[in-house]
Amino acid sequence: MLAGTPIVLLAASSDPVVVIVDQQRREIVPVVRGEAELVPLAELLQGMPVTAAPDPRVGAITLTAEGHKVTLYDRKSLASVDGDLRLLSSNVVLDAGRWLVPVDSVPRFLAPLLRKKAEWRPLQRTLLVGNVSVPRINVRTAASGNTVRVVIEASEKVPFRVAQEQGRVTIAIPRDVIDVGLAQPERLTGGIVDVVQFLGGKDNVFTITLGRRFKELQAHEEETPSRLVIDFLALPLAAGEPTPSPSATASAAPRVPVPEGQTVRTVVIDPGHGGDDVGAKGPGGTFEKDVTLAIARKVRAAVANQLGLQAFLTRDKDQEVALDERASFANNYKSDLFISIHANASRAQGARGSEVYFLSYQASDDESRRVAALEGGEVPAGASAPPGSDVALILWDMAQAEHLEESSSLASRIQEELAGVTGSEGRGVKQAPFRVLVGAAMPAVLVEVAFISNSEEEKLLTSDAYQGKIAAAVVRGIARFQREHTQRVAAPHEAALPGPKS
Amino acid sequence: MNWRPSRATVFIGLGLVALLAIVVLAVPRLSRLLTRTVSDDEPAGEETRAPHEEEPAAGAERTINVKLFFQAADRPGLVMEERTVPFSSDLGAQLKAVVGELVRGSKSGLVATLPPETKVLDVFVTPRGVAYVDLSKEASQGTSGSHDELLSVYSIVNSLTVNFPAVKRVQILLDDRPTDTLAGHVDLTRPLPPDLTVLAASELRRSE
Repeated sequence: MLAGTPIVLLAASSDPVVVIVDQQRREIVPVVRGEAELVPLAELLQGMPVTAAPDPRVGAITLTAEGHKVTLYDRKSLASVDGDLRLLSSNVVLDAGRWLVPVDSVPRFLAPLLRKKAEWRPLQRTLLVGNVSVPRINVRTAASGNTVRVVIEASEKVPFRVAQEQGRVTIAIPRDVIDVGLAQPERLTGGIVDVVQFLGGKDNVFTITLGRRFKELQAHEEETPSRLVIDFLALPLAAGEPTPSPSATASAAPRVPVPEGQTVRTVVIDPGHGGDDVGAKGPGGTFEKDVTLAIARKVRAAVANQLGLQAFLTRDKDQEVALDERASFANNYKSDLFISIHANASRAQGARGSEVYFLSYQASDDESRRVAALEGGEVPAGASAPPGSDVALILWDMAQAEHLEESSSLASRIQEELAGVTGSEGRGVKQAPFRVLVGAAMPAVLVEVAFISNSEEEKLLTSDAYQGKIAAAVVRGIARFQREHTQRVAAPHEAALPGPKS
Repeated sequence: MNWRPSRATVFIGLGLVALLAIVVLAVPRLSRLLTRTVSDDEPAGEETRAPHEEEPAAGAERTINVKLFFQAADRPGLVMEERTVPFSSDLGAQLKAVVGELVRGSKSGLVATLPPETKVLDVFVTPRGVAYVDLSKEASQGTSGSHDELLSVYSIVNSLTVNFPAVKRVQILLDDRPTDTLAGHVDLTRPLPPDLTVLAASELRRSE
């Protein structure tokens, strides 16, 4: 009988979790409880300068490291971090003297305890603690005539394993963790290569689906920078077929080594609109989407070449990208700045000049209450925030909230520089609830470079020289922000992190 | 265009369906309550009472004066225009009439923020003071730049919240459904509080 069946809550084990602490790699076998995956605390803390003091009377364990204190409670999804409560994804469990903690929530208490970066990568089942260098893999495609070139570039030396299968080519990068700059499958026209996408998995597999015109490929690896270049050659074009136009450029910007300790390393630039969404139209017929892409490309080039930072575009061609995907793209790249480029339009006569916006954020009463409840720990024991829940939604909607101050100063720096170019009369830094900024988990601004609806400014916006001036002003703004920001965080940063022993 | 509902959209959608259900159940009761408050002998508090309510002249239709926010013709920002509209004891119907006046456009040479083809499908208010303004999709067709989009959105949000203290926040729907934005910029997935920084500053003219 069903009613008589005992409910088995026995711990099952699953695949090991990889823990990398300051480049030291080890594996821990987790314990599965319901949907939660837990790791034994003792095993996790092995080799870390942490003292653990269990208090069986109240069912709690206190961890201390260099004056910082974390308390975990049996059968509660909470951690007290130096007196502040943090929500964990599921309950901490004390099981036969073993403390088990939800692996995906480990960074929530370990990072403030050790004053180190900590991150859980669910897809790669890897917990990163401290200074772990994660190769960033960037994929670029370029089509010209009868060749499609796919370049897979890594920020450090990684192994590439290429295999050709029926109708596709797979590239595996067998490393524990990589950062991938390919948020969504990239579709190409022309019939040589159809789709380039990242499948993931243990070996970080990319696939390239071959098109009907594919004939053969040539691949070679390069050392500095570490990259794999594959040229896909086509069968000769049948008469009457249109020649595919190049959709992207593969020219690699020279990489300048990023100085240590610098806080701005990566910038994502977002050319507004694209594809069917043409944006605003100028009286002379100029589309906003074309102007934003042209300026964004110039910003990217200057950020990479002059500032020596990594710079990526959310789109590098005329394609539609959803608003939330643009912020997700920046989040996936762990970008330090997000800059959305737009051109303005108004029904009113004579509107001109540039404006730089950051998010006006006002949580609704409901949201404030719920977030306060979460942070204050007024949550029934066992309450958790599964991904996709209301709480996850609220957290997405609040991603920008904690960066508003920095976003504001980034906006000011860019606007100050832009004003010199566009002569923005009475315009300036403003706040608005722009959707594209909401989910960005880093300082983020939206730059309205000028009014495309103003025929004078429209003409300027289509000129290569003026686009260059605008891009240069944006980059000067970024550079000023970077300098001030680095100075501001340098002191506390060094004080908080124990430096290398000399 | 490939549109797949994201997880967030689905949740917002579900939330909205639930909300609609609540509203459908609660609004008739609420409006009865409101009718009683306004029409009974007890003078209503400023909170629920429409502003500047005129004394009903004998035999004449009751009217109220409202401030409508239109776009300034000669400089950036919104400008107010006063207008007399028929009084309605039902707050939703009253708000619908006000949005209808915005669609009708200015009588003093200001720029309309919504295309004249826009239909105001419905307006309803939750007990917590969120007004849902359901417009036909034509509403999104007049705007393209973020400047105009901000003014379109806040002409509605400000016109409702400034005149009716019972309305705290406003969410705009298109064709009965929640929408991300009107034209790609201003977040309409959540109700918006009023923003008076979008008003045209008369000081701007001096510097020109």
